[in-house]
Amino acid sequence: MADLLLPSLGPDMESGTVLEWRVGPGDRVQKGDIVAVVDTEKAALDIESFLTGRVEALLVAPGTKVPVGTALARIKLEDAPAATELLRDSSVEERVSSEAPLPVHHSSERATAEERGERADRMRAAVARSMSRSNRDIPHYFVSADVDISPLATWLDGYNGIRGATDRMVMSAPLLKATALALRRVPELNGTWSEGRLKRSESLNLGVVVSLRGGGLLVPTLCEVDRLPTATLMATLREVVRRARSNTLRASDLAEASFTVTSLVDSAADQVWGTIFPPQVALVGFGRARSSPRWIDESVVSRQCVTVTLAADHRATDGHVGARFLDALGRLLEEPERL
Amino acid sequence: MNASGLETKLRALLGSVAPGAGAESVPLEADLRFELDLDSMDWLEFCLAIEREWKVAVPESDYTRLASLSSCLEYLESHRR
Repeated sequence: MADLLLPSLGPDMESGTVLEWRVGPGDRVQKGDIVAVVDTEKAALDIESFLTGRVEALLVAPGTKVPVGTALARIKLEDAPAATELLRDSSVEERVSSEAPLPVHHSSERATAEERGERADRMRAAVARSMSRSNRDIPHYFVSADVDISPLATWLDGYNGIRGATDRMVMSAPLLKATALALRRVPELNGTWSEGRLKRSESLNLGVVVSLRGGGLLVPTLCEVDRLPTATLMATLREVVRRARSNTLRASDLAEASFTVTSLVDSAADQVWGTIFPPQVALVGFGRARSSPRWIDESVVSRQCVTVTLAADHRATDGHVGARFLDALGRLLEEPERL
Repeated sequence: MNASGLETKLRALLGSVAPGAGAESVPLEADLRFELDLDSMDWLEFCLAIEREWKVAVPESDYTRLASLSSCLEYLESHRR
């Protein structure tokens, strides 16, 4: 027997409200199955089971706000000895079943307009807190470079030209991959600042800024981006963006990120000078992909360029390190077929 | 499907790609990407929805022909002939 606990989905999260259960007592769950929807300050999230077994009891009624670490459900593990009936907590079960359940919303529209408004307000407040903390505590420095992405643009045209919409790739996917590989070479930028020192991250878990329709943003995490083939990364990115925008993120989408990427490649902004998400120590912003004049040998030619701007925490690193990152990234983007 | 049927269906597809963005009332000649605030990921979903709905291939080189609702209608008409 084991308890399924409410996970922490970010450094600022202290509690969550169970909105609805997707399983009931007696149901079999596998690791990764969605068992509940929990509302946090930032979004309503699908909570996945990290256990495989049979649901013995639901311990928290819908509508109840509980602190991080609270046991949400009791799971009889698959290979555990049977002792089920005796351990069943009937009092809690009765409490759960006697309370009026919250309305079950379809995942694409999980909340009423009023609830959506409240959630948007809370998200704004969460962004305000995090960004104020960043500007207050983090001495940002910025380094920037115009990177010639013509080889990438050509490669992408070739890749997409022979594929249907299902398998096409957007520019952000190879940019994410290149970012992860550049961070491998400059690992000082991949980590968190805690207790007065830089704690490097072993994994390249990149937060990806997703703007939401009607305002606000979410920053889901893509894990171990350096290890994903770019096509897989694209499929993952697509699903995560879809989940973020339909308010159906999973708890695992908010794993702790070690670096953040904001991509405005298809916007009208030439440059984006970002604000670091604490406790991370750096963020890279990609501006609009645009035609720019470049000197090649003795002549000026038109090339596709992107201005890459790194924002980094001056407590953790110096401009020299930031410049090395831009250099590494630029070199990787020269050979997109190797990404 | 006649022209108004096509338009209704297109607006519905855009509405599912960009809920709450006002697809139901966007003017026929308006630039969809700007008016509905579609990014490249949304655009991909829109093209995919067109491919699925009308069983047509929408190559990337045709993206400019889908800029507005009226050009989308022309595009779909030309594929039916």
